[in-house]
Amino acid sequence: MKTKKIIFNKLIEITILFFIILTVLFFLFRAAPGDPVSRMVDPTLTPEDIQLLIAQMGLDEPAWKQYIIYIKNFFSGNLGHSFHYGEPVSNIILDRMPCTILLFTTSTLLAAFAGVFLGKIAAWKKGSAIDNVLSIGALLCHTLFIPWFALLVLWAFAYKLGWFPLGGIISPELWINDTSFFIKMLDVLHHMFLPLLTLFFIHLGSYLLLMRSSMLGVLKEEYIITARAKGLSDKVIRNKHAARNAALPVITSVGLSLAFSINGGALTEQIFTWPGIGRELIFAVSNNDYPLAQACFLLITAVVLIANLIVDLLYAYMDPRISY
Amino acid sequence: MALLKVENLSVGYKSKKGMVNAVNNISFSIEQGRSLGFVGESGCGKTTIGMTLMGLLPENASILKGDIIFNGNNLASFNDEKWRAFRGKEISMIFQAAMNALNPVIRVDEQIAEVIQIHNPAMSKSDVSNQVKKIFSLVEIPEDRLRDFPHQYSGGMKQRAIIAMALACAPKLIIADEPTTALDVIVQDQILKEIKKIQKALNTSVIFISHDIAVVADVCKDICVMYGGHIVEKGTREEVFKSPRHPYTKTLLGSYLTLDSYEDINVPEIREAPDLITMTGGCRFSANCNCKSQKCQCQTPEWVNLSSTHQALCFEELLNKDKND
Repeated sequence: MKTKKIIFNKLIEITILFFIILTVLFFLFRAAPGDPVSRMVDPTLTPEDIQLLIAQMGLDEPAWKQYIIYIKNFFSGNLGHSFHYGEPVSNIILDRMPCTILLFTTSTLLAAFAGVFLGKIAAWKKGSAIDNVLSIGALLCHTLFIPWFALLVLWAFAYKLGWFPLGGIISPELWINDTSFFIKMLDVLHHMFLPLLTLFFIHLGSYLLLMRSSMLGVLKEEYIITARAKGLSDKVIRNKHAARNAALPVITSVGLSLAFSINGGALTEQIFTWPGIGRELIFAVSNNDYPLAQACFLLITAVVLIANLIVDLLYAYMDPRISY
Repeated sequence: MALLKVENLSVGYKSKKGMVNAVNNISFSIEQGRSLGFVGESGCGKTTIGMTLMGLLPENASILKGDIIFNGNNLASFNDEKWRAFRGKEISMIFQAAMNALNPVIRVDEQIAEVIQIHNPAMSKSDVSNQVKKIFSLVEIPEDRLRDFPHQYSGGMKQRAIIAMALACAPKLIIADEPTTALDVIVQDQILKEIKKIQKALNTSVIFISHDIAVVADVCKDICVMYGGHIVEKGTREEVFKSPRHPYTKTLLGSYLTLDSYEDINVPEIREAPDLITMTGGCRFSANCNCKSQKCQCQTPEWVNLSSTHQALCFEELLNKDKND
């Protein structure tokens, strides 16, 4: 009952925030330099044609009228048509989103679990050879320049060794032919491996370092001595008494990075030609495709807000001292 | 036979400047059901003794020499495995609740059940939870607060829960390290009564470590006064507090204000702490002592028997000279 009420209040908060961001985004895009029509370089267009195009896109109205129309459409589930594709934006988003979610959720969660596990061990054996290898490795991962690393991975495993495809999410011949779901899934995994590997290593470093330092702090706490005084084994002290407290900052970090993965991963998506939201976003912004860009940003907003909600709830579950 | 007999124990901490002799050549013993108090200022080595008896010394510390005979076993030769089975079962420790001694994310009953479970692996879940309930009623925590988290407890309740944790496996010896520091005097009094009551009921031995003379005098029948890693005076509570003989004990008692001595407060001056790294021979209190004897600085003092139970670590002629003053 109490939890339900908390979630309800948080949802109201989130909705209000969402509409504030939506409004800001709308006017920001209109204030940005450039216009969508100038992108369609076609010498045969007469000034009348251009006027017609602008009217078709609804850009001849004043900004506040456009805003009202946009809001009306938004509530009826219509995010507008992409200027470039001519398709409804919602179709494009729905088409690209699963790819992004699949790639980023998997890589972030894998990296978080691995980071917590390895960070825990590094902290427990502080100063040992294992700790040194893990810490230096994590530092390397953390400071990697993403495009360079992604290209290196692509060059080595896809181009030189040829173990993995160069890009895309699925081989077209499998898509056209009538193949079983299992084979399709394996093919997607095959395509996903390299971008997943890249993102995994990029995230792993920061999670590992965060967990390590957090764990080192917890191990100095009085209750760890209490646990030892009880005669508990090292494993129980490490996993039950220390790691649970130490993992709290990592959860926050996971929530935040899930939220930023959509835009932050744009570079990785671009290099591996992964058909996700990040690529679409870069494209839409550079072409002044307002409806599409706006929808992408709204999606990011929604993910950030929901991820924050989940982090808050998880926190309350993990740490009984926190209540809302 | 004594339950615990410590002989010539020295414990040192490795540091960059050299070995710090935190506990130097101390001997004491405690009988079943008795209570022994250690008093002294911060850094005199009292907590190091407690940690040594629990096998919980930090990595840079080690037992340099001496024996700790508990119930026929020499604890000084225990390995990790033996310590694990021993801690919490034979000897347990009451920590200071104000210092976060309870894990904030685990329910209190679970933290206590844990001790019972690890030392009685064959015990069923329901037996364990019954045992937990029994201990909670012993320390007077209401049963409906069992499933709470530590932050929902008051300071006094937390301390009771920690006492319950120490009692869980009915140990023969309990070490209480500053258990009432940071509690207000009323709660402090309740907790001390609790400890005395339990000690009587279970016939447990208690080693009580505190800088607060009043607390130690309240709980313990036998007292050891520590200074700079040495025990400087030991005896029964009456002997040590009514007729202190060692100059440091006098200083310590003199620094304790009472209402009737309000007019002539004469807080003795302690000028410097002994350097535990370089100091090898001589009396460790010599720099602060009023006796001003050359002998103290180069010759290590010896135990002077004052009665069958009362001893002081000083030179006999100085003790007597002092008496004549």
